[in-house]
Amino acid sequence: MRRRAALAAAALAAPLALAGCSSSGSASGTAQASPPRLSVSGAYIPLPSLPDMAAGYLVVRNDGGRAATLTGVTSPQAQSVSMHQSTASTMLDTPTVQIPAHGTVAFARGGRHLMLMGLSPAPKLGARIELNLRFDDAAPVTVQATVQPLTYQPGQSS
Amino acid sequence: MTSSSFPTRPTRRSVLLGSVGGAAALLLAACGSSSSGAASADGSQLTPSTQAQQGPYQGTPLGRTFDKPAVTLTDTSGKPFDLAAGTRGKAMLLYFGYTHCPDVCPTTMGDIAVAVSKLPKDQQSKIDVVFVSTDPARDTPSGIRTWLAAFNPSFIGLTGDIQTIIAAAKSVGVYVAAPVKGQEPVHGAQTLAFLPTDDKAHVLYTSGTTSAVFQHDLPLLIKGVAA
Repeated sequence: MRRRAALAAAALAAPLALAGCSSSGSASGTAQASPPRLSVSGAYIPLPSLPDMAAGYLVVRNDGGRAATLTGVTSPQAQSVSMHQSTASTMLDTPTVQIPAHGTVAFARGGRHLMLMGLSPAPKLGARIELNLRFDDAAPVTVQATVQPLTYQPGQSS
Repeated sequence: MTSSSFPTRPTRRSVLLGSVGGAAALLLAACGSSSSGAASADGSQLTPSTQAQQGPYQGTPLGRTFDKPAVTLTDTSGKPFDLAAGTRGKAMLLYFGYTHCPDVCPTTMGDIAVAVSKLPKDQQSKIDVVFVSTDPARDTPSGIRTWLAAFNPSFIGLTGDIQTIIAAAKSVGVYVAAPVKGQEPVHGAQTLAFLPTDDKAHVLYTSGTTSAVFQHDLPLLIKGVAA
C-alpha cells in the first residue's frame, strides 16, 4: 500500500506543481488527492556547547495525498534558522524541503538539521524554543522544541 | 546568503587529490557515497553495512596503517603540542572538525564522549581524544576549550596554521580544505583510531558511527588489540 501511495504521488507530481503555482484554493483540479496534512513531532535542540549556535531536529509528517514544500523555519528566540543537509565532510544549504504525500522527512543527527543562530535568551536544559515551519501549500505549523542534553539521541538512553 | 554561496561537496577529484594514496582515496570515496545515502534516511543503517568485516572491531579496519601526524600545533592553553610525542604510548582517537559546526562535529564528539564516560575510570585516562580545528581563524584555543569542556574536559583540542593542519590531515588520509569566506568549513569525514602499542592508526570510524560502536571498540583499542 505504501508502494501504491508512492506511485500515485509520483503520477500526480507534475500537475501538482502547476496547480500549486496557479491556485491556493482547495479545488485545484486534482480532485482525488487530499491536501497536505502536516504535523511535526519529536522537536529537540541539543544544549549547545557554544552560545551562538545550535542545531534543531524534528520529524515532519504529511498525512495528506499531496506533497508539501517546507519553505523555511523561524523562531522568535533565534536571529535566524536555516535548513541544512550534512554531507560526509561539510553541509549544504537546503532552501526548501519537499515533504512527500503520505510520508515523513526526518531532520536527524548527521543528516538534515536546522541551524539556529543567535538564540536569546541562551538555551537552558529543559527550555522550550518555538519553531514556526512555513509551507508553500499548507498552513504553517508551530512546535515547541525541548532543549536536551548535548549528547541526547532520541530513542537511545545516554 | 543564497544557496549558491554554499560549497558543493568536495568533488571526487578533489577528494582524490587530497588523499595520500590509492587505499586512502578508496576509503574516502566509500565514505562519501555511503554517508550520503544513509545519513538522511536512517543513520543506524550505515554502521552494520560498512562494518560487515570480520575482526574484533566494529569500526572499519584500515587497509594500511598511518603514523600519527608529525606536527606541532597549539593546545587549548596556548602552548605548543607535539601530537606524536604528546600522545605516545596511548590509544588515541583523532578527529578534524570545527566548533561552529551544528550537526556532525558535536554529534561525533558527543558519541565519543558518551563511550569514554562508560569506560571504567582507570581506563578513561588510557585514551586520548584529540580534536584538531579545521577553522583555526575562528577557533581560538580558549573557544575550543569551552566547546570541548561540554563533552569531556580531558579531550585535547589543537589549532594552528591551516596549511599545517591540512597537511597533517592529508598524512592520515583525511580530506580537509581551507575555509573559504562565505562557505561552510569542512570537517573530516572520519575519525581515526591509533593503537597504544605501535602508535599507528588501524581503525576508521565514519560520520554517523554510533556511540555503541565506540563503546564496543574503545576497550580493544586501549588494550592494543590488532585490527
